[in-house]
Amino acid sequence: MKTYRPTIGLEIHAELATQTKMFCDSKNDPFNAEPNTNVCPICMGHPGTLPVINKKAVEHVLRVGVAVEGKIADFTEFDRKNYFYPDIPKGYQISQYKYPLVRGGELADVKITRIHLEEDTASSGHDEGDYSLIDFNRAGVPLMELVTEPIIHSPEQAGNFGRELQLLLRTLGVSEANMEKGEMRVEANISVSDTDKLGTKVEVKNLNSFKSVEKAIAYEIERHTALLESGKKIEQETRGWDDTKGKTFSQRKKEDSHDYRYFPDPDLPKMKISEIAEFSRENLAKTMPELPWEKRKRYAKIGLKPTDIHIYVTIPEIGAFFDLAVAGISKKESILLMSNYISSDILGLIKKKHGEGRENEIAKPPFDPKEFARLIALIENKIIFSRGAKDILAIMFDRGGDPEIIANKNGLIQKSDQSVVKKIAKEVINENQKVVAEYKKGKLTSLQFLIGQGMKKSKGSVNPEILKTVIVSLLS
Amino acid sequence: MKKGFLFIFIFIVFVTLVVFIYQTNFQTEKKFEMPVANDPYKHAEVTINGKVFDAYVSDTEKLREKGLSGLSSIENNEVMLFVLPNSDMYGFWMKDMFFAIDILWLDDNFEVVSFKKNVSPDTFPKIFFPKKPAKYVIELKSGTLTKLVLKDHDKISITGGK
Repeated sequence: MKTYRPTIGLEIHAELATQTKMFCDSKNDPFNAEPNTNVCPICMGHPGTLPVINKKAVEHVLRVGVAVEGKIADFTEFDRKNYFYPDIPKGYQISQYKYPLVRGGELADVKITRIHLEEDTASSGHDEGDYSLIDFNRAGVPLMELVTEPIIHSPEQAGNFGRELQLLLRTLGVSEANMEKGEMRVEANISVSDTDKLGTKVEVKNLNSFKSVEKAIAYEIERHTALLESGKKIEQETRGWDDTKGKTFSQRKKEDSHDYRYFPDPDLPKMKISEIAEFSRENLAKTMPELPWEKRKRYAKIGLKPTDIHIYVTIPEIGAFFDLAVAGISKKESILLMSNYISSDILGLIKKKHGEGRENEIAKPPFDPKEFARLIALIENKIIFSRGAKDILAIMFDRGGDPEIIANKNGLIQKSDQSVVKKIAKEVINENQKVVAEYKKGKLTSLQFLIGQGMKKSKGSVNPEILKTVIVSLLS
Repeated sequence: MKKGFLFIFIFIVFVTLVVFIYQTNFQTEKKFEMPVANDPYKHAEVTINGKVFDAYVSDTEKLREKGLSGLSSIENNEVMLFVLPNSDMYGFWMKDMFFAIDILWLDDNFEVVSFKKNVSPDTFPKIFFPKKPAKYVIELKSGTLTKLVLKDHDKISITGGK
């Protein structure tokens, strides 16, 4: 049996978060406006107009370049990519060909080939009638394109790269990068081969979630392998992904490689990035917030569990809550205790309230991290027990409030007063004569049951250790 | 004589050409005003050494926690004014910030008790504390305090708070 090795390269586009479009001062806000309102003669491609480069868009791409440790271009320019389509009003797209803003770099152990800047096309809708409608609000929105080397070998690795890039773009404030909205779009180039040479490449589009990326790649790998097994040839083509059928389908056979007649755009100035002081690597590095991998390192150093680290990095609002709660606290045990409560109890409450899988959207706990820190202090000072803490947390989550006041109101303050414990122990013994008899015969688990009943009776406000000694002494 | 004239002419043409090629004229983004209903901030006027700033007032826990994080920059004439619940040693960090700032701590008499210049995002998770308890904190675009030649004990005027 032959072994087939899949090779995958990704092309990822991301719409950049800027106020205005790439080459004009029309508003960059394609989702919240009436169709064809954020437009002007420049992004509508009227003759005689002159584009001007959006500095923020350039800065965004350069910051991504610095974050992935790519090489920032010394010289860079924009090119015209010529083709005819209704969504491209000028008859060409302004893109970058020979001199991209960034070359190289690495993310999630995947080498990056290049990152360049271009403009988005208009969006066309085919939902009504036998005609198409075009909305130019998206035409000219700054678009970043990142291309990886063809060195990914599994669907999961591809999915992980996409997720890590999305996290990076959001961390840098460079793009909202929502896959469902098309703010981030992934195309996968897949080939399968049983030799050292790469196989025939197939491009898959319409991937609007990371799950689709993984499923489509897995599907293609299987399809290619089956074709090669039966001695057939793979056709070079572009395929779409049908999410409901879970299949790819042929969209366009590759004719001779398209001639886009690239040439430098004569309307735009060349850029000497090295001569723009604020774009020096040093100055850009200063604008870097804490990057996802730096965050992972910081949390690992504190000694957090890998699962907790994953939560704080991928759901930044929960991570921010943790950071604020532990700010100024140096005792390791306290920090780990807080982390336990946040990752299990608080996240559990969020999931319960908003539904499983939505914790990423509505992640912010509705109370102040400092109030939560006070709750943990109450546990550590043995003023309340963990069972009571969970109840208090649930109340804080629903209605808010100070943990100590809630504890007082609900009788959850720990009672170490011997007489209170004795009273509860006596009640438990009276109400559970059968179990007591079993205990006396030597069944030790019966004791656990009695302690459990006592804890329940006291709503967790007595110390289980003290309760145990009192029960044992009463029964001996 | 004629040669000298020609030389100057060529020189000028050359200089103009160089400037044309290498001085990239960027589009600086037009700022779209937030519709009044969407602006969660009260505004105040802050005057530092004669220069007037438009202050976004952060006077709730939620606004203070967010601060300027997530914004790509602020205008030269904009600052953020934090009104703290009481006069205390409140620390500030650069979590999720994208640009460098100057930080100014004031006591209840609007007198400068402490300041820190050019604090950049890559300083996170370092926390910056004032030298003395402060009731107000002002965050400005990095470099502003150097331009204004600010010192400890300078008085800042704050008016308004619509």
